[in-house]
Amino acid sequence: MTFIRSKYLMFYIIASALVIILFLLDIRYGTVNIPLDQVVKSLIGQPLEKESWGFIITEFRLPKALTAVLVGSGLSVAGLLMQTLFRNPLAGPFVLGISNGASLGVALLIMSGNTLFNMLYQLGNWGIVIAAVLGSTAVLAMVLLLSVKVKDNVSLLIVGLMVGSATGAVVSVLQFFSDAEIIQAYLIWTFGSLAGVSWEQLQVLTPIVFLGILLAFISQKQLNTFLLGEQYARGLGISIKKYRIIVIIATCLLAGSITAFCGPVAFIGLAIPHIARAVFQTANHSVLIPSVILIGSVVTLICDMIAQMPGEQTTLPINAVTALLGAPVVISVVIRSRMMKTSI
Amino acid sequence: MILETKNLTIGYRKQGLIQNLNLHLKKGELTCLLGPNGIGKSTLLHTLTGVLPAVSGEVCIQGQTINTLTPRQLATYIGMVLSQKLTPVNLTVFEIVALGRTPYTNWLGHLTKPDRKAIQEAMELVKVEGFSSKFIGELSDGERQRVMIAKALAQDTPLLVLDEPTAHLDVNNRVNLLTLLKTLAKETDKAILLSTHELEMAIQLADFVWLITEDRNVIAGSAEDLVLAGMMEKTFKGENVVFDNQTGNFKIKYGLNKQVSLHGMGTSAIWTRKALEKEGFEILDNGYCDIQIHIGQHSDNNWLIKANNSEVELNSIQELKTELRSITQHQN
Repeated sequence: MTFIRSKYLMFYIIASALVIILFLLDIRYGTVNIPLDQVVKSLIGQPLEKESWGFIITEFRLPKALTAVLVGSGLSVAGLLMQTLFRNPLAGPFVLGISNGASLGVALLIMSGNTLFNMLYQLGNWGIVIAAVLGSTAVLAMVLLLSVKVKDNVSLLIVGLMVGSATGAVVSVLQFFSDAEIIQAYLIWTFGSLAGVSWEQLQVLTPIVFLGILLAFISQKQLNTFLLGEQYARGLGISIKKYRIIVIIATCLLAGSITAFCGPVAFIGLAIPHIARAVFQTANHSVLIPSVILIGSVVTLICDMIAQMPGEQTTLPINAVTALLGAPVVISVVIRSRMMKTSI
Repeated sequence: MILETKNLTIGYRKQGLIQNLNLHLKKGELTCLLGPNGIGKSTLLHTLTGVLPAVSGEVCIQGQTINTLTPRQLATYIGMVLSQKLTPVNLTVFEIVALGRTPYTNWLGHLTKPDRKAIQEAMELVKVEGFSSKFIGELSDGERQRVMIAKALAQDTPLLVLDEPTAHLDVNNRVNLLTLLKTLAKETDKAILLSTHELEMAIQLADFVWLITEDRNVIAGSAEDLVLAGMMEKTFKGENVVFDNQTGNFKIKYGLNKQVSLHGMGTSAIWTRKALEKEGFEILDNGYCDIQIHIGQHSDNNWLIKANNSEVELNSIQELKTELRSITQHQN
């Protein structure tokens, strides 16, 4: 809507630099700390002092750092899309059960024994992603239908939680009827983390996240009119149905594929858009989409570094770290919207 | 002629609610759509703006049938304002008015020079240019509604349709908004159609009225003609309220079961009469019955009650009411 003003440009430059620095630091720190110059050398393909460092970087640290950037930007964009779609500041992939939907899709894939799902299972990583995206689409569609009936923020949140736990319950039932071996295969998947994503999986995840973000990017004008509500958007000549479907597809591609490979990551999708709005004081998507991508990447890289606990032998689940960070943001949003201030 | 309907039947799911409408809207005129609740005002507006398909017949806007237009084209013919309160979003007044340019901008929503000029003019017309960088959440309800009108003006359409735009406003803001619309119709030469509950104000301001009657007909004409034909009185007949053809106001119907006679003139007499009706007294002008009230025997704020062969002098309507209550209690 407005020009990219100089203050936005400054922010984008600083934030991009920050992403690069944190990206390198994320590779540097871990159970084995690798000197920064060696990290840079490894990335530009020069020989290292120790060969094991090169192995650690290319096989573990680099894919993990790339995954952190994809997860951070993908989930943040998904959260932004959902908040605009529902016109609800508390919407997000995790709270509205979209992640649970992805889990259900994967559970069905691994445990149902259905022929169709078996065929998908043969597709490997692609099969898992398709199942997860379908699962999240089903849940999002259901929550969206129910959201027509419940107008206020908190009720929608409760509906999301209920749909989420019902979805979880279906997974439990499936587990009950499955063989130990299959349950094990599923459980291994649920332990997914940023570190668990392989190069092969990245080859699937990266194009899907890019596609999701691209869909969000080309719908930015329409998303801005969504802020006024459906009727006003229609009055401005927007075909609501078409863009609602595009937004749903984008959201589910992002949240579904990320959950498929990394497991549920809480609060990034919910909290980052609010941070971006607080920084820029706008709801304009042409500003917010690049902002949430940058802020989401920064925050997820920081969360990953905290989870690694540099120098220690153990790692924390990424989900716990993001929740610790996201919960205060959510509480502040609830308090602010109670005070009738702006919310989305 | 900006909008015209030809044998239009409106309704939901092929069921005709109001049939055979041949209505039109002219340039520079403010038309008010009136009618009791739930009679089909919104259905009519939704059909005229292409939200609902017509059951039969057609709606033409500047000679174009609306269902041949794409949504984007339609948005260059009709600007809409709704009654709903806007949820507070992080958008400034300028950004919201700028959304009115949506049908004209490219896929990124980039604003060109003419776009910016149209936005500025729209904000000036409704006098919100002073707070163009304020957030919508910081504004009062009346100001927000004016911003939405500016958005519709920036849309640069020959027709503005407003669905109960005054619903959430207080009296002062309602009058301001309706007067503003009246001026806008004259100044911008647009046709403006609005649905409203404000019968009294609509009669005073509208150039033209569409009245949906109880038997689901739309009668179009000057407000005054409709009053004289008794249409308003007939349509807005409630159990406890009646439209007064003399004054153009609504009057509450009280159960009048007692009689007094009132003697006097001027403003005091008018308000004494209102108070007595509220108390359930039928008033006989200058007739003589058991209870007589005389106004202004000694000064303006002076009432004299004659009843049961005694006289009481009172200094306020409140005292008068108390006295009357005790008299009528004795009689019972």
